[in-house]
Amino acid sequence: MKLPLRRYPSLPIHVAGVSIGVAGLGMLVGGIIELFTAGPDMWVLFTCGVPSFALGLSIWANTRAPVKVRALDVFVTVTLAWLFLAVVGAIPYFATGRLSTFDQALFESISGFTTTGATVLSPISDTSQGLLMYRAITQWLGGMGVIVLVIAVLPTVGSGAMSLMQAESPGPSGERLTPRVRQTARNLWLVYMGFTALVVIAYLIAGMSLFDGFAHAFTTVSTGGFSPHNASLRHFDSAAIEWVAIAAMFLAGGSFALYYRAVRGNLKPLLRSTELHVYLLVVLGASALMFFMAESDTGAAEHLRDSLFAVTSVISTTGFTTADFGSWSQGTQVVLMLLLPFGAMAGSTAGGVKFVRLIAVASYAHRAALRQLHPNLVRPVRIGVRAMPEEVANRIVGFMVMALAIFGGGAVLIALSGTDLVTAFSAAASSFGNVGPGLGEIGPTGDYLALGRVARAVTMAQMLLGRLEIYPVILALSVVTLRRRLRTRAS
Amino acid sequence: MHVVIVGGGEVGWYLAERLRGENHDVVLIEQNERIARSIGEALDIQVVVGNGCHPSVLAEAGVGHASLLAGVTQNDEVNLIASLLGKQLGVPRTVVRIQTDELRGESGRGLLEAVGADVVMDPDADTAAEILELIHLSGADEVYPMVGGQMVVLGATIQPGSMVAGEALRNVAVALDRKRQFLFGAVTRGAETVIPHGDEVLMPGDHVRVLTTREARRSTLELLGLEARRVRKLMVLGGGSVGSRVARAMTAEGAEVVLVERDLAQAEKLAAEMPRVRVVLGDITDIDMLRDASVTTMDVVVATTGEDTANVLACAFAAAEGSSFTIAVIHRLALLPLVSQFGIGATLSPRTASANAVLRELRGTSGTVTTFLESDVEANEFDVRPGSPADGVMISELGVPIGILLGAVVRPDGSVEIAGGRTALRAGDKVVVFAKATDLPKAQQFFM
Repeated sequence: MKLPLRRYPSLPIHVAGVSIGVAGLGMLVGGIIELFTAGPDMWVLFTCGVPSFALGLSIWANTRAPVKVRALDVFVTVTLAWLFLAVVGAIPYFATGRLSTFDQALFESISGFTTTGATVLSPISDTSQGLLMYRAITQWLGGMGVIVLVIAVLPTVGSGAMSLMQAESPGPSGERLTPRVRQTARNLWLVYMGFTALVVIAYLIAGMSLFDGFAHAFTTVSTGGFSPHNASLRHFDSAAIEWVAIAAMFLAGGSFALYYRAVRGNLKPLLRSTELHVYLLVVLGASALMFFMAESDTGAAEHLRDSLFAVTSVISTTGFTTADFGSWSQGTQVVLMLLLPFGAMAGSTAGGVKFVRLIAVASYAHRAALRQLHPNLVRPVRIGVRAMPEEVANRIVGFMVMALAIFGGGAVLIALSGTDLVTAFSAAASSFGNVGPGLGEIGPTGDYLALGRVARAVTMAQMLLGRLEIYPVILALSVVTLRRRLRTRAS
Repeated sequence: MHVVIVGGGEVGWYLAERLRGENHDVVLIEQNERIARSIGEALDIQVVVGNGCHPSVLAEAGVGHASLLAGVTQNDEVNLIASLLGKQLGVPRTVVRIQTDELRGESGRGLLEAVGADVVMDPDADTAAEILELIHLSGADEVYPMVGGQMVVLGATIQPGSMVAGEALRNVAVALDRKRQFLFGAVTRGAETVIPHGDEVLMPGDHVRVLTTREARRSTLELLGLEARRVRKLMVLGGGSVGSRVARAMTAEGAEVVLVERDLAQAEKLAAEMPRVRVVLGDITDIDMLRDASVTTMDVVVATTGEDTANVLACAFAAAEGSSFTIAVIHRLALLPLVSQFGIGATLSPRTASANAVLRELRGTSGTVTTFLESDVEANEFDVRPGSPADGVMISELGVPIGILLGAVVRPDGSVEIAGGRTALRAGDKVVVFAKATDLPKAQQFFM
C-alpha cells in the first residue's frame, strides 16, 4: 500500500511551483518550434524546459494551499510567483547564448512576463524562431496573468483564490462574474484565448505567415509588444496588418470581464462603461492631435494610420511601432510621454495606472475644490454616474501618490546613471506603464541597451511594480518587518 | 363594520381616528406596548399588542369577521404577510402599505397579487406627489387631484389685488368665467368654513378651495392674484423617503436641487444615488448652514423631515430670508392653524393623502374621497346610479339644499364639465360634490 504523501502547506511555494512549471511549458513550445524549423536552439530549449516543468510539478505535488489564507500570504504569493517566473524565464536567453550576461536575460524575461515589450535583443533577427516564440509566449502568459491561469486550471488554491486574482489582475477591483472564483478565472482565460484566436486569424488573413501570426497575436492580445522583427510591425509594410493591429490593441486595452458579459449577451455594461467612453475619447483626441501636429512628411492616409497606431500602441501599453514618432514634433512627443503611464482600462491586459483611476482622481480633486465652497457638501467619488465607496477612492488616491513617487524616483535614478532627461523620464514612464519603447535613446528605433546596467535594473523593478500594481510588491517586502512586529506583540 | 389595522404609527393612528369617527369598529395591532397604550388612551378603539404577522394575534383582533384589513406599518414585509394571512382567514378586502418602489412597480405585481392586496398605498409617495404639485403651482397652498387627475382642487388665499376680491360669486362666474373653468367649492374666513352659494362675497384674505380643470389651474391661480412661476432652484430639507423623491423628480425636470440631510450615512447614500443633486450635511435648523447653502436665492424651499418644529422653523427662516415659496410637511394636524402665522407658503400632512385610499375602499364608492386638512369639509366623487333622483334631471331641478354643492360632472366618455344649474345629469356620470362630512349622507341619497 502507498503511503499518502505529506504535503507541505504553503501557498507561496505552492503557486510559485506551478509558475515555474508554466514557464517550463513555454520553453517546451519554443523547443517544438525549433524541432520543426530545424533551428539551432532545440536542445537548449528542451533541456531548460523539461527540468523546469518537472521541478514545478514536483513542488506543486509536494505542497498544498493551507485551509486558511491570510491577506499577507496573498501578496507574498503573487510577488514570489512573479519573481520565480522572471528568474526561471530568463534561463533560456542565457543558456542559448543569445544574451551574454544574466542581467540582460533577466531584463528580457521580466519585460516579457510583465508584457512591457522593452528589449535588449539587438538585432532581433539574429535570434532563433523557437526562442522568439518562447518570448512571445511569456508575454501571452503574463497578459492575463499566470496566477489567474493557475486558479483556472488547478483545483488546489482554495479560499485565497479571489484575493490572489485581485492582487494580480490590473485595475482597482476584481469582480466575480460567476459564483465560483475558479469559473471566473476560467471564463476570463476562455475570452482571452478566444480573442487570441480571432487576432491570429485576422493577422493571417491580412497576410502574415503562420509563425508571425501567432507570435504577433500573442503579443498584441497581451498588450506586450514583442515582435520577432527589428522593425516591429513596419517590417510588413502592410496597411491591412496595421489596421488589424490598431483594432486588436484597442480591444486588448478594454476590460475582459466586460467582454465576457458581452459574449454572454449582456452588452449594456460594456456600452455604458464610462471608462470605455473616456478611453475611446482619449485615443481619438490624441490621435487627432498627432495627425495635425506631428509635422510628418508621409501621405495623409498613412499618417492618419501612423497617428492612430502610435496612440493606440502607447495607451494600450502594447508598444508596437510603425512610424518613428521620435522624429515627430516636440509637442506630439510630450503628449505621447504623458500617455505612456496611462494604461487603458481596468480588467484589461494593459499596464499603467488605468483610466478608472484617473477618472476617480479627477472626481476626487473636483470634490476637494467644491468642498472649499460648500464645507458640508456630501459627494461621492464617481466613475460616470456610479458612486465609488470612500475607502476604494482613498486607496486609489494612495495608489496614484505611490505611482508618482515610483515614476519620479525611477526617473531620477535613471537620469543619475547618465542618460538625458527625455530618455530618463520616458524610460521610467514606459517601464512602469509596461509600454516598452519610450522617447529619446529608447525610442522606436532604439533599444534598452542604450541604458546602463543600473538604469536597466531600475526599469526592471518598475516593470514588476507596474504589472503587479505596486501594493502586492510593497506589502510583500514589508512582510519581514511585519512578522517581527507580530512576534514581539505575541510575546 | 369591523376593521383591523396593523401598525400604530402615524398612518395607522390617523386611519383609526378617521374610521372611528365614521362609526366603525376598529381594532389596531401594535407591537410596541408603550405606543399601544397611548393609542388606547387617546382613541375609543381596541388595541391588541403583538406582531401583525402572527395568526394568533390577528385572530385575537377578530380578523375572522373583519370586512377590511389595513397593513400600514413602516415595514413592507409585515404589511404583505398581514394581508396574506388576512385573506387566508377570510377578510374580503385588504390594504397594503408598500414603501419600496421596486415592489410597487411592475416587478412586484405578482407578489402583490399573491398576497391578495386590493389597495396598495404609500403615504410618502403620495406626499411627494402632492409636494410636486405645489411646487409646480407655487402660490397655491393645497393641491388635490380629483377624478383621476383631470381636475384639481386648489387651496389658496385671495390676494388684495385679485380680480375676484369684493365680488359675489354669482358675478364672478358671469364676468370672468365664460368658459366655465372653475368653481369655488369652499370658503374659509377666520375659523369658519362654509360651502358657498351664489351670494357669497369674496374678501381678500379668504382662504378658498377652487375646483378647476387641469389646463386652467394656472389661469385660475392668476385670478386669485397669485402667479405660478417656473422653479429653477429648489432646496429640499430632509433626505427621507419624501425628500429624496421630490429631489429626484425635480432634478429630472432640470431644476437645480440642494438637499440637506442630517445623517451622514443617509446623505452619502443619497449623494451616490443622485449625481446631479447637491447633498449637504447638516441640521436643517442650523441657520448658518442654510445661508451657506444659499437658502436666500431659492425659488422654493421644502421641509420634509420627521420633525414638525424643525420643518416650521426652517421654512419660517427661509421665508424671512427671501425664499419666494416654502412648503412644510406637518405631521401633527393640531399645529396647522398656528403655522400660517410664520409666512410659510403651504403645509401638508402625509397622513391624509394615504388615508383616503383606505376610506374609499371602505365606503365602496369608486371615486376619490378627499379630506381637507383643517376643516370637516370634503370633496367627494359619486357615481350617478340608474333610477336615482339625479338620473335624467338638471341640477337646478334636483333641489340640492344649501351646504351641498355639486362641483363638476365627469361624463362616461371622460369629458369634464364644471357644474351649473343647467347641467343635466344621467346615469353613469360621476359627480364631484362639496359638503361637510355631516351632510354627506344627505348628498349621497341623490345619487343612489
